[in-house]
Amino acid sequence: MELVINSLSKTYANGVHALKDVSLTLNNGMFGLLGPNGAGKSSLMRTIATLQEADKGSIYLDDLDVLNRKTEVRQLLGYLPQEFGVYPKISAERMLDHIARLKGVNHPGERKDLVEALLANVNLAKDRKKHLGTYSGGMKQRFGIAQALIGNPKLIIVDEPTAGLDPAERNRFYNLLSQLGENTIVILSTHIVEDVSTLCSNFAIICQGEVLYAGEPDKAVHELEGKIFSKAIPQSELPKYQSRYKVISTQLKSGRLHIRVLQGADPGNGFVPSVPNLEDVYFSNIATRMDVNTI
Amino acid sequence: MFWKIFLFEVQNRLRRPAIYLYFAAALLFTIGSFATGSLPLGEKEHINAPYIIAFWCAAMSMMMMLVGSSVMGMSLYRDIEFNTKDYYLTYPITKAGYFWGRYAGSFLFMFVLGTSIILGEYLGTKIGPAMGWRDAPQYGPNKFIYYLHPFFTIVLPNLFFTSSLFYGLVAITRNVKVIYSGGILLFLGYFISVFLLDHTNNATAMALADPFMLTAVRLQTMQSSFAQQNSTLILIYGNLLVNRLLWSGLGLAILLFTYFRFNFETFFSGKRDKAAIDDTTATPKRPLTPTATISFRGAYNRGTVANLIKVELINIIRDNYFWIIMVGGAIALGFAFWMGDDFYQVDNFPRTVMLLDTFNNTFVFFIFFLILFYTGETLHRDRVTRYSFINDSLPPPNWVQNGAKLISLLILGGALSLMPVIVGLPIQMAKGYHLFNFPMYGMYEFVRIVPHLLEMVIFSYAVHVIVNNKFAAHAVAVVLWLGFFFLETSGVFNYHLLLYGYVPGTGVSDMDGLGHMARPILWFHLYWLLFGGLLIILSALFYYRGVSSSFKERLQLIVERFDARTRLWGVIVLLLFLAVGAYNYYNISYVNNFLTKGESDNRAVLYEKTLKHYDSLPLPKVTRIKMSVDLFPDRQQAFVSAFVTIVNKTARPISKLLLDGDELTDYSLKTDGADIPFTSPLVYPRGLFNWFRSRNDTAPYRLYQFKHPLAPGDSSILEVKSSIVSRGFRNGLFGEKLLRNGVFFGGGLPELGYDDDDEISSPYVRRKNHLPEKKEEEIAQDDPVGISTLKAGNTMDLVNVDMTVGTSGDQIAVAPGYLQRQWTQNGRNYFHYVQTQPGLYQPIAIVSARYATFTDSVQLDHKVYIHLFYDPAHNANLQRFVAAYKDGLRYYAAAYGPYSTSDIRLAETSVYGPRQGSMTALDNNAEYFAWNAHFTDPNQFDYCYFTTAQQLAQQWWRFQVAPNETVGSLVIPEGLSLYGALVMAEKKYGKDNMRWILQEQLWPYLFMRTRLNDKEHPLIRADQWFEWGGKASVVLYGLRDLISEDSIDAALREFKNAYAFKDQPPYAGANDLFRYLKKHTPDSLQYYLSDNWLKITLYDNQMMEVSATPTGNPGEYKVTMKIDVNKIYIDEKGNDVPASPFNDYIDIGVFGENTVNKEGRSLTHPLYLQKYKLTAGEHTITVIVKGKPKRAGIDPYSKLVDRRPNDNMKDL
Repeated sequence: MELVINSLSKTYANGVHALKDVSLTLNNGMFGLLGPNGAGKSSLMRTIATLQEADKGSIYLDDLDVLNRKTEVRQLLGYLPQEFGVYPKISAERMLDHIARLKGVNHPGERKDLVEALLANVNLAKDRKKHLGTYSGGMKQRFGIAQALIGNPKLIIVDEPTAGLDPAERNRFYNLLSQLGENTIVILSTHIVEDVSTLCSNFAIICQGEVLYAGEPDKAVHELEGKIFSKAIPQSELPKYQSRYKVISTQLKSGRLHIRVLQGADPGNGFVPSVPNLEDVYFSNIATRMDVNTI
Repeated sequence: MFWKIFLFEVQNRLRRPAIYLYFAAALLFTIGSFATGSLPLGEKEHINAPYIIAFWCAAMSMMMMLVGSSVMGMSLYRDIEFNTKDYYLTYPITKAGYFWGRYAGSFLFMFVLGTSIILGEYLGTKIGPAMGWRDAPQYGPNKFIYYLHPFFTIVLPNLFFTSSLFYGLVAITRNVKVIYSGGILLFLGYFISVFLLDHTNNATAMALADPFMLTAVRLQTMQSSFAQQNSTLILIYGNLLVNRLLWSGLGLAILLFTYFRFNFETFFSGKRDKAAIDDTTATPKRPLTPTATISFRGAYNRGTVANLIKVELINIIRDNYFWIIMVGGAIALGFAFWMGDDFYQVDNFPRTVMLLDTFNNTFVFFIFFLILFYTGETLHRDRVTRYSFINDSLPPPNWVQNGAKLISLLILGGALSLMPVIVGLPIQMAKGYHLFNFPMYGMYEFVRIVPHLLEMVIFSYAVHVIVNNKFAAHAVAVVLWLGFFFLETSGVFNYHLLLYGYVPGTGVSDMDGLGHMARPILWFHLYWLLFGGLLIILSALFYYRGVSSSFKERLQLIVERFDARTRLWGVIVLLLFLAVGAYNYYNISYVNNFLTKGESDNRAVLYEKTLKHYDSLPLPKVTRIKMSVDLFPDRQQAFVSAFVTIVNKTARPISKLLLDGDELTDYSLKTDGADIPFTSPLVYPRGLFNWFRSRNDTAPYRLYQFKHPLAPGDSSILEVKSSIVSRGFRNGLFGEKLLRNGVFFGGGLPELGYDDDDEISSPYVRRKNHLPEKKEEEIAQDDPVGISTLKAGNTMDLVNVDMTVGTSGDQIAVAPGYLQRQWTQNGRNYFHYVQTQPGLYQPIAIVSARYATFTDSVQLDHKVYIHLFYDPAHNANLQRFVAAYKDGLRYYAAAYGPYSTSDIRLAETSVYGPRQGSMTALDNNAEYFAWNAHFTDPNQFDYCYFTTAQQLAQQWWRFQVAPNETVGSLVIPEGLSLYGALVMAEKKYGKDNMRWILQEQLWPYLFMRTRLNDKEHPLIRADQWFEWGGKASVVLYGLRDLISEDSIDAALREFKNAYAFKDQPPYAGANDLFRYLKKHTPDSLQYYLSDNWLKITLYDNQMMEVSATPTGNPGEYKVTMKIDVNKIYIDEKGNDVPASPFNDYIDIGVFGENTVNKEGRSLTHPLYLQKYKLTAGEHTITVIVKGKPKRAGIDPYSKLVDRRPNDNMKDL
């Protein structure tokens, strides 16, 4: 399957330009969306998830016009929103059963098996009879994951899915996602650059509604090879360095500021060459749009 | 700390637009109402009368409860909703500072909002006359106290109470929904008091039950004169003071209680998740194998709808607040059902029709609020819980999601419509009533309740979907709904084709069910449900799914959703709607003539301007009517063919005759076999909505011109043919006198002459239309026209009547007069009634229904038959009526002279007619009165007996001696008949047990006399119902006590003999009655007559102290009483003038313990009762009595007109 996003634009009523001419092509496998807060990740995902209209542009899932044939898209979709709630007075089991029903799992027996399997996989089997209102944040998030996986979705959209999960749960979730097989498109948005590098075959960086980079993580890192240098400097000298070099990240460690710069050639001046990582790719792209040095 | 939080709250509010919107809305609404006078004004009431200002203050501050719930509730709830707990708790704030700071900051805005009411009222009174919307004289003086007083006594306490309640509820429960349940329960308190206002006289309960004091203001308005309404404040004393203290105190108590209970940690952090503990120990995993088959075909949509509905309903019924509201509502309804109707403190049976009527009249508003609230909850639940992010991306198409919500609410509406059944049946059973009338329950549910509630659901749904903001949608829906309600009930605009959900009004009865009105109601409901279909389609277009933010986006979606299928459905429903609408329009505005209230007023003005000069035309008198009437109750039709003999008793020839055929569909007039030519002098312009009717609407007034004028003394026979044919149906109730079961037919003849009762009476409308001021003229007792005209009408004196009535084969037609013959022909029943020797006085009417009959007789000088005609189910009290007729006929005939005919009949009449009525030999009681009284206690007053005795007495005092038209003459039919009933009650219950009965008659007088619009009259010129009725009866009873029964009977007999069955003037007036009473009263007692008839006299006697000591003899006591005697006259200016010196007969009595007779009735037990001649001032009286004294009293039986009869008795 192929998801083609073409020149998608969206401006909110309050004037925020959430998406500017976004074009992306996604294939089966995991696709990571990276970007700072407010970059437009959620807007993009909600538009694909049929929750929101676009001003301009098109989205096609193979031949399916996503923007205009919403019902058919929804039949293929698994969506875990960034923030969501539940009916407080209904149990997880009943709610999943209900959602499975809505997702076309019509046979009661099959539905029961499915719900049980899902609950076991997200580790909620024990609490399946409890009302959702009594769930903790992590449990709720796991419930959210379970509901997104119902009904063999061909297009899974997960918006910052690991927020609120402990490291073990996070790993379990990623394993679950990886299980889903090759013929599914999974769109994953996250702040955690490392997740993308370990999981995703493709990724894009979005900032201020624009796609700054799209490609494969390994390739992206490869492109920066030999261009990243680092140095520890006194904090007060940062402005001086910023004016002279392309500083892409800073980190304060025991009173000294460790900075990383992107330069075509070795800048000397005490800089040592560093092995590039995806974070460098991310920051080097973001830095073109905003000040990433938050100190 | 307080100030910081207070200021933060204030600044925070000032930045939000909501508060400005609320203020502007309340201000503009109020200005509009006061500038245009769209208020429940009395006829002479100023638009800015203090009572109206107070009414508006109460009503608006009640409505502000809606705003209060958001302002006060949200001030705390914000912190929970926005999860500020994580940092708020770390700030150095104190509990007191937080709690009171937030409260004061928010309440300040409620206070400011409250000022919009009085500000708007004041501005309205200035803008109205300035813009010329209303006449300046319709506004009285604008005193500031008129505004400030209700602001501080009504608005502020109301706002304080509701604000404190909502604030407290949220502080304790951390839940915002609790506000709604609280608010709805408050409305219920109000509904209960409205119910009490309509159904009982329990002033205390109704004043206290209403937290907003609206009912109390309405009650005080009802009981006051226009002068009082225009120039005095609503007084806050007694029950009203208690009301204010009670509810304000409750507000304060809630606030303090909450404050002491309030705990930061609990409030912010809430309950810990107790049930589920996150335990992530690994459990064996099952691989996620996608084995389930997925299909979106076949039954998917249907199954999904069912499943969604199930989840919606679970969400509603798992909510505790739902049950709080439901149980609260059921209790209130049960209370209303339990209280039911009562007369003379005797409950009626809890008949199904009464319960249904009660529900429909008082409870439907409550249901509306409930439905509106749950519509908001259902539509916003997904968004509030943020489940919508998941839900809205699930596969079901819009119509499935949308439809499931709508259907869930429709199911809720359907379930709520069963409330009267669910609550009504147990109440009926608990009261031991078993005539459940299930068909009536079913019929009423189907015709009235279910469609109406479904319309409410669709309305609420559409408003919520389109407005798409919970609070705003609630406000819009309430304003629209109340707007419709006020437009309809005030009559300003009541065209039911344009007021959503409105249908023709109707009563409901055992006799006729909903009768012929069921059909138009169903047509209108069909019309509105089809409109609801359009609203549903509109909702489908506007249905909110996903996270679209702007209106532009929604419009974009609407275009997308308005696809071919939707369009097809839209067109189909629209066409059906238009077709039904056209049919309804055809009925109400083409076949029938719909007029707005303004148009009716204009027509009355035109009537007066065009026809007033015919007022001076001489009128003939009708002396004989021979008619045949054909009633078709199942078709609401009647046909009359009559020969009417008229005589010119005036001194002028009669050549022209103005006839009014307002009540008739058509009529014709012939004399000597030839049509009499006529012109129609009055043509109205066409009604506003009746575009297809003729542009000129000929009024039903005709001016007939005789070829040969009727010379003085001459007579002529007019041949009248008339018909009443209800065609189609109307905007409102119609054909209520020709019900399928329950005809009350008034004769079917056109009225003679110009009738000034048809003129506009409102002085403002008159002035606006340049009509002269209309004065209620008092016709002097020596006025020659007055004494030669009967009160019952100026064109008929004693009339010979010969009437043949045909009605349907299952009905009995009853009319005044002697039933000469009765037969059946062609499946119809015919009755021939005749009253020729000596004829009868007005009114004449025919009743017809499917009656059961009960017959008895009593032997006087001739045998008199007693016939009861009643609905077969209403037979509980027949013996009480019969007993009254038997006793009454015997006593009245002996005392006043023979009963003139051979029958007396009592017929049950419909719910639309008057409660009681009398004609010659025919009395009638409405279905809801007396027939269905439920006597449970021997101490209850047998009002069936009492009121029947009173009606019977009118056979002498209206139908033998007919009152003339002069002032006070109604003392004869009303006062003498009520006096007769008092005598009958005395014979039944004993002289010593009359205290309560006499007080009951006098009470309306004592109460109403202080609230008169005009000056009070002495009894001989009585011009108010409580004077010529209750007061006259007590004064006559007192006279009988003084001059003896024989003397008063002799006087009345002589009076009757002089005036009975006169067909020539002079006719009897109050002065004639007085003359005979005076003649039979000894000189020593003349003071009593002149005090009570010629002057306005009030005693104010009091038993001040009473003590008793044993005398030493067994069972003997010495009782010492200190009494105060006072008598005053009311002078011409209405001032009290002490009446002294005087030396009047007044009873002094000492009473023992009440005894109980063998029927279980409690009896007064006098140990001593003696008349004393007493002068003004204090006296001490000592008497020796046998038996232990319990009470003593001056005028203990309330025979005198005493201002405060209750202080006449004192317990020992």
